[in-house]
Amino acid sequence: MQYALFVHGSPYQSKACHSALSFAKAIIESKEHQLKGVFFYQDAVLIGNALSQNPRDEFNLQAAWQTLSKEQGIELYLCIAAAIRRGIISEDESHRYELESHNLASGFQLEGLGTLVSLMHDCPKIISFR
Amino acid sequence: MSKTLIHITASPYTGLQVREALDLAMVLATFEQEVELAFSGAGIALLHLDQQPQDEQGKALFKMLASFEFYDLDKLYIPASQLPSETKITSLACILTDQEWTDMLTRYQHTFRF
Repeated sequence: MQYALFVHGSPYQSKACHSALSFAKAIIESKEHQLKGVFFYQDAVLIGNALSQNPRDEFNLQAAWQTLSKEQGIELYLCIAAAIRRGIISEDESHRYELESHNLASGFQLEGLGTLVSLMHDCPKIISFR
Repeated sequence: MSKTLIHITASPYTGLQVREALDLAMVLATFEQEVELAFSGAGIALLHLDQQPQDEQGKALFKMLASFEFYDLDKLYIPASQLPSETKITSLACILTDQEWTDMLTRYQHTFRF
């Protein structure tokens, strides 16, 4: 079965991003299921801030998602409206808003909610993490 | 066409959760998905009449309800058991008995709770 994950809990105030990562790994490890993509919404988009600095002795959640994406080819989407509101800016958006810098972490991409609709259309199961 | 329920349980005044839940509902409707909304707990506050929030309290989200008909978002459910006793709610809301509420929750391919 094809799954998509819809993550909307903050990486700092909830375990939504952690639980979603564990679930994503479980899907990948199983041979009978596939993970189509992960859509981050609301405060979960903070996972894509390249400027956040993880304490060295703590689990690096952002790096774990980036590794998963790179090694497994999983698309990681951040809602563009939610991200820009919270200061997560891609290079393209920095030009649009005439900003001097951008901070979207590698492995993540900004997409509209239409991408979530597309995932809902393609996947029988959307699992939410809040 | 899949049928989606947006279930709002957060207060419209405690953060962006409700604002972004309504955004999602409108985008889904724009993409011609069938969307219905349910309100319980603190989320019922969105349906209160005569709200007059100050700028510091955020955008007046209840005003968005008036535009919902243009998106075919005309199903707004609330359980009768959680009707506020001293505050009137919008006539756009559909009040369900406990049994109807329970049945309603099972009708959707996707349920997103905020």
